[in-house]
Amino acid sequence: MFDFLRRKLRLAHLRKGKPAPRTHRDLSPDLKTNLTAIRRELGASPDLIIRCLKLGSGAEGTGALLFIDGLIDQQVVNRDVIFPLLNGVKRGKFQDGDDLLKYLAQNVLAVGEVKKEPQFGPVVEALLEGETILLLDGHDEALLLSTKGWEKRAINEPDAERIILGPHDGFTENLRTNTAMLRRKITDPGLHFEEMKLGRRTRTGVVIAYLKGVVNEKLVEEVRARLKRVNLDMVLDANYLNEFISDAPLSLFPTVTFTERPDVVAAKLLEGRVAIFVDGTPVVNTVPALFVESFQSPDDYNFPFYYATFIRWFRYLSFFLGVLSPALFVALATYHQELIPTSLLITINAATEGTPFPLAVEMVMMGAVFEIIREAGIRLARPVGQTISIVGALVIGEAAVTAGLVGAPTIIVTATTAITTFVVPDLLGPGIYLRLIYTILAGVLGAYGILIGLLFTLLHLVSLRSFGTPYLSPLAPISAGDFKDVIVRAPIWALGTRPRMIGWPRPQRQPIGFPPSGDEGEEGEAEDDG
Amino acid sequence: MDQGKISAGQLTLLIMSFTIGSWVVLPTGIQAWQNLWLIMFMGLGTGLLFAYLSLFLFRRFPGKTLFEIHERVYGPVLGKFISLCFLWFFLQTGGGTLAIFKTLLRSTVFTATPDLAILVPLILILVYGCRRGIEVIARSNQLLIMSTVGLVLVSILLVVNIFNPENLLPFFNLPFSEVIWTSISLAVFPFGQNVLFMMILPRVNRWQKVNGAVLKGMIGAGLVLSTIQFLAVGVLGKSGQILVFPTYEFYRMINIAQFLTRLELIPLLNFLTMGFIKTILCLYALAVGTAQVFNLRTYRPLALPFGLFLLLVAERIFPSISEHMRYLEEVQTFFGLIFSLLLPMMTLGIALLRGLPRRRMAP
Repeated sequence: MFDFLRRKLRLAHLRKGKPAPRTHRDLSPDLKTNLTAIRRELGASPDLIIRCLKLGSGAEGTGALLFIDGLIDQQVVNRDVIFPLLNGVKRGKFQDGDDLLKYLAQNVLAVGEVKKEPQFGPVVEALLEGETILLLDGHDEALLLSTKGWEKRAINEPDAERIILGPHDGFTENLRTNTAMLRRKITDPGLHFEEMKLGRRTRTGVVIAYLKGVVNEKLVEEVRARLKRVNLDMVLDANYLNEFISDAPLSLFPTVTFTERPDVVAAKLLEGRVAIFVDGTPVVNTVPALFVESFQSPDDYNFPFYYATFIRWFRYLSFFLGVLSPALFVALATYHQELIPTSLLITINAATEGTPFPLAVEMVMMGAVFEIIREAGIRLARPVGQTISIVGALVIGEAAVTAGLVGAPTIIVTATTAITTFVVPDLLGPGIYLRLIYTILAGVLGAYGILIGLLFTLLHLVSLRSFGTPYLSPLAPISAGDFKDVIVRAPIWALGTRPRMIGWPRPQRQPIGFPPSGDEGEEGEAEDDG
Repeated sequence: MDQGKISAGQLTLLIMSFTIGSWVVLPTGIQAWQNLWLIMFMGLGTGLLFAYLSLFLFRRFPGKTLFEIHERVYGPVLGKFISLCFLWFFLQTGGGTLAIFKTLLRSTVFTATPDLAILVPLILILVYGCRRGIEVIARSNQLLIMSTVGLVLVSILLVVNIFNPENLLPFFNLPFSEVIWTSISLAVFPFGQNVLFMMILPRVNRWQKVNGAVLKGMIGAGLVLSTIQFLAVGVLGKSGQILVFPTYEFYRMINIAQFLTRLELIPLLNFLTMGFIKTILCLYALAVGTAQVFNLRTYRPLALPFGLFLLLVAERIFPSISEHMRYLEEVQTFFGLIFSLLLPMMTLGIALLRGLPRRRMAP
């Protein structure tokens, strides 16, 4: 069924056709013509500033400086571009007959990056990206001066991924800041960035980051190829790409992970993954994604390993409770009462005595109520949020039971579900669906229904791949060497190899093996080949 | 055709699941009840002999499924005919497994549920999994067999307080002929049905490792089955002989401090997953085999019709548990012997006589 849908989608995609190519006209040697053309292209936007300049003497010296107000660093333009331009030519060693443009670029302009561009299209693009354009009369080339600078948000701790210990910085909306934060974490010449522009109209900067020597080259190629296929007119967030490049776009499970934390991205690159930065969003995608990744938190590595292992087990437990507890309760109380201890059974039956609906219906209803409360809590302003929790707790919880609409056990199970779901935020979306499906199956077929649902989920999960890596690895296919960071969180000195399925070209990350001791004799026994 | 590849380790686990499959809930050779856990090893030994016969055949034609071997050895017409016979064998194996689990569920948990309500969802998942190919089956099996082995290990601990070693006595109070007969019937079912893997072996990525994988898989399965049987005898004693599903019933007796009681649903569902793997492999072999017999490009469209076919077989050929048990007792051993021993032996003999494969043709 999914194959069929996918085929349809692909066809629909093909039918859309390709966007018309931008015209690649050359610049005219006449300054006026160029300015008119740019004005026509951009319209009468008030933020387009055109500053006419008179450089040197004679007709040759007429020029114009163009930039978009708000996208440039005002100080840089004034101090390092306009001021030298007005003074430099007169004072300098410029002689008639030299190429003025070349002279300016080499001797006068005090900005970091200066490019020559003969074509009209790229000039406009550069202008819109915050570069300053210098046009000279009589030259059919423009100078692009990198003067980008705009208002930025300060570096904050990401709200969605809080941790207790460890670095508290998070990515911002600025692409360059983000890549710089990554460079600060990994000072390795192998850290490569590749930039491309995606989105026909937004022309958003997208950067692929990987660690050469660690990453599998084929993976980088695959990421590149898939990003090239992206044919959207806008890319406003990482998720736009995420849904475009993931292996199973129709699956409930995420085959691309995302994070706002530089330390997480650094760790993932060092495992041989590839990161995709998108300009304008603090969210960074990493591929390939694994199921078990959702259960790992940076805190796991910032706390002692025995504690981290313990917490990780509880994360697994919480996920399964969150997904299965309503279904299990429905199945046990409806079909398999003999499996419930007698005293508990009596309590449950007494509580659900006078309620009008079957247990499965109650459960689905309360699940829906909970989702509504949650959504309302997110959207509302913070002071009103309090009201929501009171209404949720008192009116719906307490009153529904007192009024005899639902049984008290249903409320307890729903509450358990509500809390446990948030332990693994990455799988929130799949969790909601799975819970609903399992609850309905349990209402229809009891524990057998749950088993059917689980088998279906299992078959689906093992058939998923994320950029060539089986989604459920290292559980299936089993690679026992990777259990050290999945089933437990082994001590850092024992995490000697990268995940085999991802980082296999350079599996070893440090000398493998021994617990560190005062004795230095063991050092150098196992050579690092990275 | 399916292009998926599985590793030798995955093959081992598949063989374990397949062998554990249906026998785990409906043991045969019940007349030797108290010694069944020991005779299991004799059955295993005989079963391994059968398996190595087939493997010998496979190693002469590496990379070829049983059906392709048939066509090479017997020629197209006779070869296809023998292949069709094997299809019937797969159908009956799969249908029988389905029937066992249907009966188990109907007689224990869902006493009032109609057959179709139990079978149809299962068939749909089987078809879904079968269409996904052998890789997906092998990977999902890895998790399922792990949980089964884990459950068996845990149940050793759980039955400690109700396990009575005296229940195991007397040892070998059987006539010798009975021992031989039981071990042969065990060699045929569950071990002999592994001949189905002749359809799957070419999908193993390194065929040189196949022998070891089969050996490990069958021994593993033998150990699991023997352990369960051992626990069942120790817990239930002689009375277990009159139960239809003894390996499942003994979980009923578990009682740890009045807290862990009535755990039978867990093994029930767990064993069901083994049956699931067994049936899905039968379905896969059926679909792939048919595609090969009729030279089809892909087996995928065949999964659904054969799934429904399995449903039909489960409903029609094994309508009730008593008939099924009679089938297992009186027919299964002879029927199975034809396919797991005689036909492969004949194929091998003729291949040797004809000097196949000729060196030049060997890959």
